[in-house]
Amino acid sequence: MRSAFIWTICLVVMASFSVWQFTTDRTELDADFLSLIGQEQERNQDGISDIDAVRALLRENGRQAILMLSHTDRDQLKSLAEKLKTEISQIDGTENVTLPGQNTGRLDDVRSLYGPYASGLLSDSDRTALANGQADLLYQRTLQQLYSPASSFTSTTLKQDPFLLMPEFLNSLAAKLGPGNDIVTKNDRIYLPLIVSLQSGQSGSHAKNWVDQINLIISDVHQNSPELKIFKTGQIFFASNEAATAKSDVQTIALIATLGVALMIGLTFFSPLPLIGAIVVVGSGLIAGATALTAFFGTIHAIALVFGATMIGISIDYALHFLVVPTGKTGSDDRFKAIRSGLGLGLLTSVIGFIALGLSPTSLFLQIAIYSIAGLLSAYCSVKFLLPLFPARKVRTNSPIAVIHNNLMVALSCLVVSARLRLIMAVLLIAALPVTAYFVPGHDDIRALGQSTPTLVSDARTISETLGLGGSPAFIRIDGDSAEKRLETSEAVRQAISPLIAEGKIQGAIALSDFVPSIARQKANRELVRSNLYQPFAPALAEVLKISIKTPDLDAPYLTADMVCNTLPEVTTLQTGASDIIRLRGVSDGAAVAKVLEPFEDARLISPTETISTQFAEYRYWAYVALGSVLLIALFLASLRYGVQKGIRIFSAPAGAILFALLGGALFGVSISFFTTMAMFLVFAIGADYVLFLSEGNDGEHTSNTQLAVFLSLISSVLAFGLLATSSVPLVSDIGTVIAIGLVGAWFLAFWMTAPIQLTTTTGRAN
Amino acid sequence: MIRRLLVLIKLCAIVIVGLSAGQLALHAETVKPAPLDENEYLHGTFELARHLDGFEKPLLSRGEFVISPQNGLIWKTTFPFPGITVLEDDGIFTITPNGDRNAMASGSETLQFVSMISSVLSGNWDTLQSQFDITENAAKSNTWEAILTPNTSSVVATQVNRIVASGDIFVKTVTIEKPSSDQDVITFDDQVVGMLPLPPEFAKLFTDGIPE
Repeated sequence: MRSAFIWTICLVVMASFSVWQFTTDRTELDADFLSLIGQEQERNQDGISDIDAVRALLRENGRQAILMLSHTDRDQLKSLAEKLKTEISQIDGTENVTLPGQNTGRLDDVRSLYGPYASGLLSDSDRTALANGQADLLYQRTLQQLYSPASSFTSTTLKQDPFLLMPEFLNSLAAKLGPGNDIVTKNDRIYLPLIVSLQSGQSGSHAKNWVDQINLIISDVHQNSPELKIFKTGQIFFASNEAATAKSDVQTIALIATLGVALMIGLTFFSPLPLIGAIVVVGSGLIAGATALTAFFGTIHAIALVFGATMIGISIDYALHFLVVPTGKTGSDDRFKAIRSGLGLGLLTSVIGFIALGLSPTSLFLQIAIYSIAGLLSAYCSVKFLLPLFPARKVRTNSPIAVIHNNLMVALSCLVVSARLRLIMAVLLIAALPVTAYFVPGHDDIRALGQSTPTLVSDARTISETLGLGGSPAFIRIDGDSAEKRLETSEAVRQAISPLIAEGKIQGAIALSDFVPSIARQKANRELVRSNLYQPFAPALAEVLKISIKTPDLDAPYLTADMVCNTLPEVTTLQTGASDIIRLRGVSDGAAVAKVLEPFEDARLISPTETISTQFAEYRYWAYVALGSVLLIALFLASLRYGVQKGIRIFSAPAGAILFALLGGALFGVSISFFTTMAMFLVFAIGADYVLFLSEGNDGEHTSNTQLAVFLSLISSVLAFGLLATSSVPLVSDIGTVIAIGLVGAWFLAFWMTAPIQLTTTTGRAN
Repeated sequence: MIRRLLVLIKLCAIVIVGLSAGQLALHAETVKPAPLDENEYLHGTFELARHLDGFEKPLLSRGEFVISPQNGLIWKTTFPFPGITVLEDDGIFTITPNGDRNAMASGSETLQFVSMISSVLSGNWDTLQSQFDITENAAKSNTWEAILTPNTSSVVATQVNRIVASGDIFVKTVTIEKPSSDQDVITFDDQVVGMLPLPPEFAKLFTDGIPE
C-alpha cells in the first residue's frame, strides 16, 4: 500500500512536470518532420549538410502558397483577384499577398543598386555581341532606347550608364526568373497567379485553420462567379490534406480499437474494473514517457511522440498478463509473483531493444527510445504497485473470449510437434531472417508515404505547366571557400546547364550569380565594354547627349553579394550558410543535369525528395542494425536463461515474427521503409513478451491463464495496430499491415515453440 | 520580379503616350470627340522633347504614330535616328532599321496599358481613376486641359509626379513630370482617323500583321 502511494505520488509529480513544461513552452512540440532528421549528418567543410540545405529550401517553399485564378474575362479576373487578395490578407497566418505587377515601387531601389556598377553588368546576349565585334548593334539599340517612349532610363541612370546596358541586364534577369509572376493567356482563358507568403510556424492546427479559411473564401467566390476557376498548390495544402486524412483514419481506427479492447475485456471478465486497471497502466506509461522526453529535450518531435506512444502500447500486455491471474492464497501479492519473471524478462528485453535503438546516431531514435523505456518501466511499476489494489476479477470460463481461446488451443495443439522438430524449424526461421532482410528491397521514397487528393495533384501540375510555379524543388548546390569562388563556379555551372534549358529538360534556373556576377566577370565585362563599346562609340554618343562620357574605371569598386542581399532580401534564399544554390524549375531529366555537373567538384544536383529519402534509408539501415543487435542480445539472454536449445526456440518466436512481417509485407506490396522497420521493433518487443510470458508461465498451474493473457494481448494489439492496415494513407496502412502480420506470427510461434506436447485447457481437458 | 518592375515603368510612359495619342473624350462642353471604333485607327505625327535633369539640351525626336484599338500602338521615330517601337498585346518591341525585332518587355502590364489606352480613346476615364486623381479644365473655347495626379497608393506614383494633357478634338500636348526632375513633353499634330485595315507599312509591324 505504501509503495502504491509513493508510486501514485510519483505519477502525479511526473504528470504535473510534463504539463508545466508544455504550458510554459519550456518544451516545444515540433511537427516539422524535417527539423530533427539529419542533424547528425556529417557536416561539409562549410558546416552545412545537404539535409540542412534542403530543410532551409523547403522551409522557404513551405511559406508560400500559390493560387492560380482563371477566367475568360481579364477585367473580371483582376477584380476578383483584388477581392481575394483583400480577404486572404485578413486570414490569421497570412504575411502578405502578391498579385502581378505589385512590386513596381522597388524599381528605384534596383536602379540605385545596379546603376553605379552598370558597366560590369552585361546580359549574356550583350556580352556575346561585344565579344563578337557587334558593338554597333548595341550602339544602335542605345539610340533607339533614347528616343523610345517605352524607355525607363532617367537622367541619373543615363549618366551612370550612357549605353543603357543595365535595362538589358535586368531584362535578361527577368527572363531567367521565368513567367511565374505574370498573367498568362492560354486557350482563350486568362490565368493570374496570386502568391501568398505565410508567416513562419504555420503547421498543425494553424495550417489547418488557414487552409479551411482559404477553402471557404474560394467556395464563396465560386458561388458568386461560377466562371472563375481556382487552382491551388503549396506544401501547406498537401500537408494539411494528408494530415486530415491520416487523422481521420487514425481517429476512426482508434475508436474502433478502443471499443474493441473494452468489449474484449468486458466479455472476458464481465466487469469494468480490469479495463480501468489496463487504462491506469497504459496511462502511467504515457505520463512517464512524456516526462522523460520533456526532462531531456527542449523540443520533442511529433514522430517520436507518436512512435513512442505506440511502443508503450505494449504496456497493455503487461496489464492483461496480470489481470488474468486469479487471486492466490495470500492475496494480490501472489498474482504479481506468478507473472514477475515473465514480465521482468519481457521488460528487460524491450528495454535492451530500445537502448540499442537509442545508440543509433539520430536524436529521433533517441527520443523514441527514451520515451519507450520510461513508459515501459512506468507500466511495469504500475502493474506491480497499483494493479494489486484493484479487486481481482476472475476470467469467466463461459465468456465468449475464453471459449474461443479454448477451442483455438485445442485446434492448435494438433500442430505441436516434437521439441527437436521445433528446434530445427527455429533454426531455419532464424537463418532465414537475415537472408530475407537482405533480399526484401527497401523503399524509402517519401513520396510513397503520403496520399494526396487527385485534385491537389492535378492543380499542382496545371499551375506548373501554366505558370512554371511550384513543381520540383530541385536545386544545385555550389560550395567554395569564398563567395567569389562560389560565384565563379555558379557562372560556369549556369553556362553548362544552358543547353539543358534550351532543350526543355530544365524549364529555368536562377542563381545568385545572376543577380551579382563574380568580380572576375564584372572586371571582364568592364574591360570588354571599355575596349569594344566606349572607345569606338562614346564620342558619337557624347555628341548626341551633349555630355561628356567617362570611360569605366577598372579599379572602381565592384558590386558584391552583400549589397544585393541588402537591397533585395529575397536573394538571400539563394544562399544557405556559406553555400550558394541555383534553384531549378521544372527539372524533367535529373540524370542529364547530374551528368552535366560531373566535371564540377564543387557543384552537385540535390533533389530534396531524394535527399530526404536517402536520409530515411540511412535511418532504416540503422534501425536494422539496432534490430539485429537486439536479436543477438535476446538470443544470448534466452540461451542463458533456458539453455541453448530451448533458448533458440524461444528466441525464434520474435525473430520469426519479424520474418513473417517482412515476407507478409512483401507479399501484400508493403513498402519496407524506415517506418515499417520501426514497426518491426514493435513486433519484436511484443513477440518477445508473448514468448517470455508463455515460457515463464508454463508451469502447469498458470499455463492456461498465461495463454489466455497472450491471446487477449494479441486481440488488443491487432485491434490497435492491425486496423491501421485499413487506412487510406499508405504510411499508416503499411505500418498496420506489418504489425498485424508480425503479431499473428509472434503469437503462433510463441505458442508453438513453448507448448508442451500435452496441452491443458482451462476446462481441465487434456488434449 | 525585376522584369515586372521594368515593364511597369515602361508602360507608365506608354499609357501616357496612349493618353495623348487618342481622341480624348472629355466631358467638357467645348468639344465632344468621337471615340475610336474597333475598326478605326488614328494616325498622326509627334515631337518628343525629353528634358533630362543636368543635361544641356533636351533629347528631341520626331516621327509618326499609329494607334489602333485592335492592334496597339506604333511609335515610329524618323528624327534624329530612325527607330520603331511597337506596343501590342504580346509586349513591347523595337524594330531596328534592318528589320530586327527585339523584345523590350512583355507581360500583363503591357496588355493592361494597351487596354488602358483603348479605354482612354473611348472616353472612358474609369480605368484610370483607380490610379489617378483627374481634374479637367476647360481652358478656353474649344480646348481643354486634364491634370492626372497619381494616387499615393498607386504604383505609378513612384514613377510619375504628374501628367498634364491638353487639346481640342484631339490630344495636342502631353507633359509627363517625373520624380527624377525629368520631363517629357510630347506634342501631336496632323491627326487623322482612318478605317481599318491599316496601311500595309504599319500593319506588318504588328506581330499578327500582314506578313512581308
